[in-house]
Amino acid sequence: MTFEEAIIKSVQKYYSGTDPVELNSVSGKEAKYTREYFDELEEELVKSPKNKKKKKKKELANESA
Amino acid sequence: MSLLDTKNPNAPIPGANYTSDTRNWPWHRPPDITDLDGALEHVMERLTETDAGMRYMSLIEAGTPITTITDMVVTLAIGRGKFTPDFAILVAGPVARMLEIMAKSYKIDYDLGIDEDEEFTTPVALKKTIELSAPKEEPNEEEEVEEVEQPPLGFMAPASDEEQTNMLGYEVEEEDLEDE
Repeated sequence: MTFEEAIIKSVQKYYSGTDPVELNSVSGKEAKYTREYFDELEEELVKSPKNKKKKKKKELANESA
Repeated sequence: MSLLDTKNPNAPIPGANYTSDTRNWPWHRPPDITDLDGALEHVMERLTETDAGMRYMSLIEAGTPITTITDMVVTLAIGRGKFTPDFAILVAGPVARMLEIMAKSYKIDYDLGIDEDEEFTTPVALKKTIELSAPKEEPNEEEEVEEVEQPPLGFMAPASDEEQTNMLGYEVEEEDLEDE
């Protein structure tokens, strides 16, 4: 297996939900950049235009009130 | 560098590799980062605070799979002595996820590069295998009779009996005797 193949396999495993358990346990502390973190980051960065409009409307409504 | 010119070889002296200071290479020294969060922070910094991120986005937009970009990112980090190759493989998944999020935020169509090709047998291959596996029909006797054995025609092929007798002159002698 080449390094490139190993990288592809690693990415495949990550996307299938397998985490490097031993690596996480060795570090001793809780990982900051978890799947949940990335999901939240994705939500923040990739907002759908509908959500943006809803937020804007809410903000405007709050301001007017 | 050549060893072909035996009179004046221009190559390192045997054992020269043991005298060079290998500590000069970053990947020969202990890695700077050994924890997952530190590695991801380093990659994030590289992606967001330098031009590298935009270059990678351009590559993704051009059709380069994210796994290939991940390979580039982690290999560069190995080259800089940031982490070991083993650790790079473990970090590859989150790095690919970061690149994916970045591509999504820029609204770039991306290819993750992890889809496995579905292996299925094509109809042509199936037909061929059926043909090969089917029992061969034995040729009819009539067909065998029709086949006439052709004498070998090669340059080194043995001469036929007729030719040999002609060459040896047996027939000629017999004919002469009969005439007498």
